[in-house]
Amino acid sequence: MKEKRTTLVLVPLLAWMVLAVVVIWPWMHQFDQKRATLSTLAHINAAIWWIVLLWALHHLTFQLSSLLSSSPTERPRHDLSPPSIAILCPTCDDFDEECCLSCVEQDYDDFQVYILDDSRSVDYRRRTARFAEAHSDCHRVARSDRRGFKAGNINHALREHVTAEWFLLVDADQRLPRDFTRKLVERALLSATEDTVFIQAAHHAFQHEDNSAFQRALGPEVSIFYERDLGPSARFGFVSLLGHGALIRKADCLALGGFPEVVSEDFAFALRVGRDGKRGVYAEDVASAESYPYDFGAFMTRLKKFASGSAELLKHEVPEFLKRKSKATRVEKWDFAMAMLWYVLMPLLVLNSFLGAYVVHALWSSGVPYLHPVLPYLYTWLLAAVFAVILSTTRDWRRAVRFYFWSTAIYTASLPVSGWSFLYHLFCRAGFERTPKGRKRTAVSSGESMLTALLGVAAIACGLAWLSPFSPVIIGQGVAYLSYRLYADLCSESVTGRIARASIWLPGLLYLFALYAVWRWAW
Amino acid sequence: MEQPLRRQVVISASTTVLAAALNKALSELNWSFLVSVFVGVLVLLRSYPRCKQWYRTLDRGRRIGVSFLASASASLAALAGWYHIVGPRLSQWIIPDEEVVALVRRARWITYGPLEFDPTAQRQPRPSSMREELLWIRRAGFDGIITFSSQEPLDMIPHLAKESGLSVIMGIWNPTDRREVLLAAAKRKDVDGYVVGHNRLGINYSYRELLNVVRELRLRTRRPVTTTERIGTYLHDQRLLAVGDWVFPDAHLSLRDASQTLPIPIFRADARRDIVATTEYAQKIAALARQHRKPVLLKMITYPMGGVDDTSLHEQANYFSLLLDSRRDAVAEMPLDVSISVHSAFDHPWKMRWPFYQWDPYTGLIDEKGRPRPAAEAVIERLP
Repeated sequence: MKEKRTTLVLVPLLAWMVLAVVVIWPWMHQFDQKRATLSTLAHINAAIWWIVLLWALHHLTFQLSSLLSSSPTERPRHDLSPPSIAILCPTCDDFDEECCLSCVEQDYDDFQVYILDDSRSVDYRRRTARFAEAHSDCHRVARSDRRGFKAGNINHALREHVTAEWFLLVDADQRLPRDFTRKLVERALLSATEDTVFIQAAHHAFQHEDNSAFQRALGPEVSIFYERDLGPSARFGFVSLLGHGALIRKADCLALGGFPEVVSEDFAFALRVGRDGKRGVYAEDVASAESYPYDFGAFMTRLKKFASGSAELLKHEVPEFLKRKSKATRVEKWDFAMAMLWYVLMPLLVLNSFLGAYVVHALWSSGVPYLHPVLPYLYTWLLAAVFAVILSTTRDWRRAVRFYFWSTAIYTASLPVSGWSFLYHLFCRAGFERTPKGRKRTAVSSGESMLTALLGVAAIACGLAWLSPFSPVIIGQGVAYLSYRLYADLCSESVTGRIARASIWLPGLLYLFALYAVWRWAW
Repeated sequence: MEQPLRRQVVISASTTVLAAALNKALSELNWSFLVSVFVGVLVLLRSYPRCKQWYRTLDRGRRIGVSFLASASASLAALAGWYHIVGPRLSQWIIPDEEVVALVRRARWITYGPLEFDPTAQRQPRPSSMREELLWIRRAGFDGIITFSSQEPLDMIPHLAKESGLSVIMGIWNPTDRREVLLAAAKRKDVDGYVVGHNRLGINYSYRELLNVVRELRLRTRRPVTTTERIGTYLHDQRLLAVGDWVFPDAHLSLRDASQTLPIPIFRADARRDIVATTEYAQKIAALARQHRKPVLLKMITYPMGGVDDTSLHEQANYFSLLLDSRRDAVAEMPLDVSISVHSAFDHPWKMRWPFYQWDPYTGLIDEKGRPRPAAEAVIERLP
């Protein structure tokens, strides 16, 4: 397998090493002489922040490389005969007729649509059957058990029903443009080599007038991920399979044993592809629409699924992928490790904020210059770079600003629960929880809300008791934790909904105030 | 040579000449800076067409993102350029002359080192004892203190001094110690002026390092900043006169008896003899300072009450009385535009070995129980 270029992986790593080893470490060393306990705590605190910085620099470098490179313009080849395609729509009590309609209406010549129905609900079963009967190229596949979640469903169809060379995976919340399959196949014919197992297409957020406030505010995340993260990863890192909008070679899939029957079957499959010395291709110029979770409850369900799925991957699939005998390239291994690092960092971040509040207060109140003078510049530039990436996809200031503040609050509020979910599933078996689709409100667990709120109160109390330039950060986190239950009403038109939509700006504002405080401290 | 390149070289050279003029105006000619300007402008001009071409290949979203990032990066670079390159060089103009004169002319400055401080035994003073000593200084009638170091725990002194109603000129012992510099800068609310370094130029730090810290501190704190070297050093190295906002030379005498011709130097107190030496130095430094339009505050005007022959509390008081009385004389030899700060608040028993004189431990104007010695009373009586 061809080794990928290491440039993009090395740039952030070198920048980080220069910052950490040459600039910061000698600076931190000055605390060694004073108060041993405080010095130890300061070092632990700084070490965790520096790992977070490594993670951030890695992803930001990839995003910026996408920002600075021109859009891909590869001309399709028409001299090869198009293969037969099976469009697989797995569903489990979330059948969406519009999605399947967009599948059967593809302008491709040789394709069949399979609705892989794992629904428990009789109503959904009837609807899928009715739909299949109404469309000649559409087949309904059901099975007697539901073993292996979504992966088991797809494997069953591949082994028992699908005869096509390639199959296209579609999610229930996707909308395929009419030319999607044709373009993706053209792209496959252009880019696929013998070792290509899958071609992952891009997505953008589904724009609809019925979209909730949550979807409108956070929808740009889909485009940021597909336009800015995945593009450079395909050239300089690891290409993940994202479980939908992907064309997969059936023979290779079955040769690898089908989809691993785990929660994150798509990532696990991509890991096995990489481990086997094969590869995935990313088709940035072929895109379909997908829905962002309707509200905070649905978002949390999805995030917890990601966290538990990542814990499961870390236990079962990642060690094999990272081993020496794995045929994946070094940059693929590093890039994937960086992707997984976020889940490991989540629980650490929650705890480190409390530690940071104490350490910064102790050093600040004694006048010790804890922050290196270069840090205010670095933090400001990082913020500007992140905002530039957001702005490049939203192409609108107001949407970019709204996305920044909403995503800051939502991801901060989700940290304790998703961090806990990751930790818990490192030791316990993960269960498959389907991401809620449609416009139904999803409630958040009252236990989670209460515990997160208590953590929020503690964070605010610590921020006020240990005053320092770090206080706005921990108070911002506290406000987000405290608002966990409130955010579940973000899409509601009630009074609490309005309060939620007003207060969601608070954590982001407090973080900006912290940046101002850092400048004041440094100067 | 192609026409565009020639034009670009001309533009780069013109920019460099402008930068050189600015550089010269700031009394510096830094060749590495000028070469950087020339190369930087040339590279910018050479790469501009390619950047423009590349920019056109980007889609609208990317153009918006790139424009924002470029603007933000340029703003940060400009900010960094101001704070670290241009600002410090222009900092001499941010402190109004009146502020410096008011600081220097403020009466009754005295140097302060805590009684419990003993660097030879690694002994650090307690905040409570420093607080008490500063109260003694205030009660004795002094209204400002001059410190020598900002290392912990001495960095607490300005805050404690403010509690006692004292003004503070905060000392930084080692300008190459970033921690000490930043600790000092962090105390700016309680500080009226800074003095960077004390008689260690060319030993602990270079002229360039000293200048950089003086400028940075001035920009950061918006307080007058200067340095201290032995008064004789100013006469030989006049760059020192340009370093600070005021001239703050160490006017510490040796008490050496020049009438003795023995190979081993003999030290002996003689107030009348030493007044003459102090006045001579003051005249010389005042003449130089006038050329640079800088006010002068003599530092370390001191006389011992023990340690060598002929010293006593009376002789100590006599020295200060004669020196300060000479300023009231209509035909005074002591220049009137030279201010005086005295040394020191308390005795420093740890100053026993080289490089200190044998009388250096006995220069306190207040005893260890907080009682002002006659010299302190003489100073307070004669300083307005």
